[in-house]
Amino acid sequence: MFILFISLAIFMEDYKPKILVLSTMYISDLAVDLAGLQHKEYPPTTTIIRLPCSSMFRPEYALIALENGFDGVFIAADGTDCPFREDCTQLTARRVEEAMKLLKEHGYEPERIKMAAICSVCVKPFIRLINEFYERLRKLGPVKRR
Amino acid sequence: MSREKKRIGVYVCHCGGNISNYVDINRIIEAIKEYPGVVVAKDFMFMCSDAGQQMIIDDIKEEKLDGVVVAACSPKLHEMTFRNAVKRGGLNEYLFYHVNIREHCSWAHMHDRELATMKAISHIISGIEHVKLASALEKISVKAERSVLIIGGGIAGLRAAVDLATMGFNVVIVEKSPFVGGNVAKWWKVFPSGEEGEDIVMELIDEVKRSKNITIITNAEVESVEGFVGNFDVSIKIKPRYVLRDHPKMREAIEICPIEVPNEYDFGLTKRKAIYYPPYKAFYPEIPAIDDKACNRCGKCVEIVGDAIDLSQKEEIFKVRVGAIIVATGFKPYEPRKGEFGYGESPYILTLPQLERILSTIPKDSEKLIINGREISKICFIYCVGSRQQPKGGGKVNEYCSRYCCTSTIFTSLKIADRFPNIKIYHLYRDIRTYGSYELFYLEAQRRKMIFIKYPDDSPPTVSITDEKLLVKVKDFAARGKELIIKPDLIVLAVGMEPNDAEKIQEILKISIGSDGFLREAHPKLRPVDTLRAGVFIAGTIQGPKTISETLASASSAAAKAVSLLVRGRVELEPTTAYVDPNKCNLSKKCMEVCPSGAISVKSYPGIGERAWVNEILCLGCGACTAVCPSEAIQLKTLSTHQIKNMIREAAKIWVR
Repeated sequence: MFILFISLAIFMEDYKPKILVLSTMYISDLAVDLAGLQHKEYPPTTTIIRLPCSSMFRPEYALIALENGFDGVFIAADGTDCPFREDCTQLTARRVEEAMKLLKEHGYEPERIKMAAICSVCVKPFIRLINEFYERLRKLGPVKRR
Repeated sequence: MSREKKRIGVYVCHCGGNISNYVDINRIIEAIKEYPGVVVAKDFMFMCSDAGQQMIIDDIKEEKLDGVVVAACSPKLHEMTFRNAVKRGGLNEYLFYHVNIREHCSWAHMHDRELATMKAISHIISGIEHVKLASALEKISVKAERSVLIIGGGIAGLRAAVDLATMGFNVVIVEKSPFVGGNVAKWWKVFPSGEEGEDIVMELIDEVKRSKNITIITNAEVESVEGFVGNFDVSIKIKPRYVLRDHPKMREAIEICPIEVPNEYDFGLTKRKAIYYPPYKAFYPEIPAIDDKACNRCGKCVEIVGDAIDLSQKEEIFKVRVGAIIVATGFKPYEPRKGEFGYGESPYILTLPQLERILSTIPKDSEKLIINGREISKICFIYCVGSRQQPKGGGKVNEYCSRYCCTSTIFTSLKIADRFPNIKIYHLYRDIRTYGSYELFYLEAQRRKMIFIKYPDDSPPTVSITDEKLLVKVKDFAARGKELIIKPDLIVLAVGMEPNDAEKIQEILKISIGSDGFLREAHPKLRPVDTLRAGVFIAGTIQGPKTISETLASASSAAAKAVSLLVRGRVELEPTTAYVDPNKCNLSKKCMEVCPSGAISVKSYPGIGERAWVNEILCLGCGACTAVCPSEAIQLKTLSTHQIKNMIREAAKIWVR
C-alpha cells in the first residue's frame, strides 16, 4: 500500500499535461512566434494548431482533443484585435461555453478548457496564462478516458 | 481522392542548427517516414535555400507527390517561398502546408530535447493530416482600383505621393493638421547635407503641386476603412477650416485676432493666434486655418476679409475607393516629464526640436546666440532622453534607440560652432551611435575640441537650477565615475522619437503594432514596408525611428510596392473563403447570424431548392460560420472542420504513445 502511494506520488510528480493550443493566424500566433523568438520557455507538451479566427472554434474539437490524448485545450483568442469582427470575444466565448457543457456531458471536467485573448505582442500574458493552465491541469490530473 | 491515397512528401529543415540543435531530426524522420500517406521524408540544412526548394520540385515530379509538408520556421517568413516552389514543381500551392517547428518549438524549448522533439512530431503529423484533405484551389481574381490613399502629409507621405503620381496612379493624401509639411519643415539644418528642413519640404510640395493626380485633404482624419486589397472603401472626416480662400488682407485679419494659444508648430515656445499660418514657409495649402477649439467666433477676422472666411462651415464626410493604403503618420518627439533633467522648470532647458525652432529663426547677421534674453556661451547636450529607457516599475518605457539623435545632435552642434565659434559645447552621452559615414561628424566634433563625457547607463546626469543658473552633475564613466560639475547657459535634451497615432491606425486598419509601440512590418528583412494586411503599406517613422534619408527611401519603396500590387488593374485574393454544400445544408441560417460581412444569403439551387450561399467576394474567411453549422455543410475551402478534427485527433495520439 505504501509503495503504491509512493509510486502514485512519483507518477503525479512526473505527470506532464498535454495541451492543445488553438492560435489565430493574424493575432495570437504572432505572440506565440514572438515567445519563441525571445526564447521564452513554456511547457513543451503543447501542440499548436492555427485557425484564422478563434470564432471558428467548434465545441467538438475540445471533445476530440480530450478523447484522444490531450489533457486540456487552450484557446488563444483574438480578443479586441480581431481583424474580422468586433464581437469576436463574445462569439468565441459562446462556443467555449457550449464546449464546456459538452465536456461535462461526456464526464470530463469543464475546467480543461481555457480561453484567453492574446494580442499579437502579448508574450508575457501568453507565457503566464499557459503556465497557469498547465498547473491547473496538473492538479486535475490525467484525463480519465473510457 | 481518399485520405490514404495521397502521396505526401515531408521535409524537415535544420535551419542551420536553429532547429537541429534542439530537436532530434533523425527521430522525427523515423517517426514520420512510415506514417500513412508519407512517401518521402527528408531533412536538409536549409529548406529555404535554392537546393532545398529544388529538392521539393524534383520530388514532386519524380515521386509524383500530390501533397507537400515543410517543417521549418514560422509560416510568416517562408510560407510563400515554399508555396511558390510547390507551384514551380507543377503542384497546386494549396496542397502544401507549412509547419512551424522553430518559433513554436526549438526556440521555445531549448532545454528539453526529448519533449521538443515530441512536440515537433505532433506538429508535423497535424500538417500531414491537413494536406491529406486539402484540395487544389485557384486564387480569386478581382478588379482593383488604380489609386492609393496616403495617411499623413509629412515628407514620407509627400514623397510616396509624388512617386505614385509619376507612375500614373491617383493619390489621395489625408493630413490630420491643416497643413501638409510635417515635422521636417520645422528643422534648422539637417544632416548630412546641411540644407534647412523647410527647403527640403518646399521641393516636395512644389512637385506635388505640379502633379495633376494628387488630391490633398487637410484637417481630416480617416474614420473607417472597409473592404479589402484592391477595393478599400475609405471614409474621411474633414473638419471645418473656416478659411475658404486667400485674401490680400489676410495678414491683417490674423493680426486682429484677440486669441493667443501656445504654438504647437514651435513646440510651445511661442504663441499663435486662433487663425494662423505655421511659423515657416514650407506648408500647403497656402491659406491660413482657424483653430476650431481656440476660436471664440468673435468675427473680427470676418470684418476684414469678408466672405473669404465662413464661420458656419460644417464637418464633412468624404468617401473614396482606393486600391491600396500607405500609412505615413510619422513620429512625435518625446516630451520629457516635467522635472526630467529640469525640463519645464527653466527657459534655458530645451529639447533638441525646440532648439531647432529657435535656431531657424535667429537673424542671419546676429553674432551672438541669444535665447530668452541670455547670451549663450556654454551649451550642454544630454543624450538618450526618452530612448533606451530601462524598465522599472511596470510603466511603459521606450527601450529602443531612436537612431537619429546622436548624429542630429552632433551635426547641430557643429553648425552652431560654425556660426558661433566661441560657444563651448559639452556632450553628455551613453554611447555615440553615429553609424555609417555620419561617424565623420563625430570625428569632426572631437577635432574641434568639443567635450564628450560618457555617463554610466544606470546613473544619468542630474540638473539643478538656482536663480535661473543651471548646474549639471555628471559621473565620468572614463574616470571610474568621478563626478564633474558643469555650469552651462543652456541645456539641450536630445529627445527620441515616439510613434504618432499608431494605436488609432491599428484600430482602423487592423494592422499590428510591435512591442515598441510602432507599427510592425510583415517581415523586417524580406517585406520591410508591407504589413500583414494585404494592400496596406507603411512608410517612414511610423514603423520605427528613421533619419530623413531612410524615411524617403522607405516612402519610395512603399510607393513602388503599391504600384506593383495594382499595376495590372486586378488583384488576386487568397481563396480562404467559405462555401456551402447544398446537399448537406438544412437552412438553419445560423451561419448568416454570425457572418460579420453579410456574405451569406439564401439562394435557390436547381434540383435541390433553397439553401445558404456564400458570396466569396464579400467573405472574409474568419470561419465563424463553420463553428455553428449543425450539419457541417458550410466549410472554409482552406481549412475544413474535418481537417481540423483529423489534425487534433492524430496530433493527440502522438502524446499517448
